Amino acid sequence: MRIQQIPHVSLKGKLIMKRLSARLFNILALTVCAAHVVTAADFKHVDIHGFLSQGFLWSDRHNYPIAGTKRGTTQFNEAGINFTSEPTDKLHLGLQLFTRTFGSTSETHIGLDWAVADYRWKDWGGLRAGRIKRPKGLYNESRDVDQLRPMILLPSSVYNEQFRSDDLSIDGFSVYGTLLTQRLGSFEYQAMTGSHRLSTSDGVLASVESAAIVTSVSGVQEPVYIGSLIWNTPLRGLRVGGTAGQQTIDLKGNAGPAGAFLFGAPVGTAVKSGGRVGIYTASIEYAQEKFTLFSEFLRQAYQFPIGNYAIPDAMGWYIGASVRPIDRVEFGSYYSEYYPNENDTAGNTQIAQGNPKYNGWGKDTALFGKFDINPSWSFKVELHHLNGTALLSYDRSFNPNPPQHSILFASKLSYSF
Amino acid sequence: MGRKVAVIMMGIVGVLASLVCPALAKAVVVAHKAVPVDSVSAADLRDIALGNKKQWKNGDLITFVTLSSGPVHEEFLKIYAAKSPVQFSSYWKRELFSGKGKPPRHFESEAALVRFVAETAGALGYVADGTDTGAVKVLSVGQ
Repeated sequence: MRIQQIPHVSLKGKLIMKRLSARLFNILALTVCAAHVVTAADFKHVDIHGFLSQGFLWSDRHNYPIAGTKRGTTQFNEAGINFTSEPTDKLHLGLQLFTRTFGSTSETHIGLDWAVADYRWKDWGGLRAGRIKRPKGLYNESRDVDQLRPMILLPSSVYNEQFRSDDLSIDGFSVYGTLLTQRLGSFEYQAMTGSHRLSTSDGVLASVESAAIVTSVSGVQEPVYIGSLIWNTPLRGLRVGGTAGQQTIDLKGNAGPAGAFLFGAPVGTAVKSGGRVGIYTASIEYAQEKFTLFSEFLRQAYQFPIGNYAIPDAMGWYIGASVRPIDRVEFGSYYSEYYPNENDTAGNTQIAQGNPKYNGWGKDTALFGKFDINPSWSFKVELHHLNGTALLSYDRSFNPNPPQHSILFASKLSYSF
Repeated sequence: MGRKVAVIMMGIVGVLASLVCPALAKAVVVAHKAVPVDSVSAADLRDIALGNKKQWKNGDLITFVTLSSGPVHEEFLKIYAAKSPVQFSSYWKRELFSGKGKPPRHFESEAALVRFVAETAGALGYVADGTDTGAVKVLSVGQ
């Protein structure tokens, strides 16, 4: 039955690939044009680098992580190009353009991923200004670039794809540096503040809109405060880190059918909601030449009521390992658990809301393999067993009455230069 | 389920790690003749290789350069950065694509690397033992 559905997707896939090809062509054309412009202007010290990847997702029972996964989908790709220059020893300038397709919840345009002026006057102190990548755990700042990690999907307990765009960057300032010691290793720190206009195509805004809580929704995170500390310990390859972020969020729009009850207002009435969200992570990674062990913990604390509904605090964690038996091959596994209500890991409160208990958790066991064809190309495959439905989209039209367990297969081909 | 997976993973890692015993080549650390030190520590080399230490103690920029490939390249990265060449490349791509840094320049041959280090103030790199290092300063490496 499932096999019979795949040809149907192949037809749709052709259309998707056509659109994707057009977008990737735009990026490549932009790259070539940019290279010509740089050459023409004789800016000999501008470096240009880029990446792109194309993936495939298939699940036996859930449309997770995106709509269309049950039929198999190729709406899963990203591409980026960056320009960097170092006009002086201490000044670093750069920007990166980025586009991504991730099912229906995706950025549909080429956007500014980051753009920074970075002045580092000492090893222990530097200043960045502009659109800056946001630290959250060890891997958030590089999560756009598929080729840099052995797995395709980062563990969803900490790196939830539904809210990816909310966590990527801020427009503001950052103070950073590395404190070097001979005996205790080194300490990398970052402290940043700024704001972030929330995307309506994915993240929290898309979630409240798709759940019909608020329609015509817009929102901003301001101010955002984030601190990050990574300790590169004296034990070679062991690093330990933590991040803490606090952000004030303001949403506005019109009460939707599901939001009318929460806000106590008729459908279509202008409504506002605001509050604070704290995001805290703790991380550990032990990386040697042939193997890596890694684990992270996340807690999200909400003081952010939507109408009369108080969002519960969420938590998640994962542990994983990978091995590299030869330089071009890496494979491994991780196990991840996520609870949208940290005080109800058994899912008991879900019953009162008319959901099955297993809507109270999202557990993911993954096996992954990465093959570096050469320094520029890599190919990855991945298999997940998912238990629980807490990670599925809030838009349940994608997954009406989802079952507790599912299998997800993913593959991806990536290129960078 | 989670515990079983963790135990299996640790077992796989242990078995494969025990099979790894690469042959080592000898790397010599070289720098521009005017750099203000005669020795560097292993911790310094790790921090320099990973871009955490960018300045000599007099404030001059450290320009770190690498070989493109080969046993000396592998040995240097393994000993001082605890990374394979692929991991080292991924590390710098991560810095590059997150707007935090630029990968070190690399050279196909020891002679080209020595020539660059000799001509570039603050430069530091490594070559195979036995390479002609007359134009540069050879730094000793402490713990």
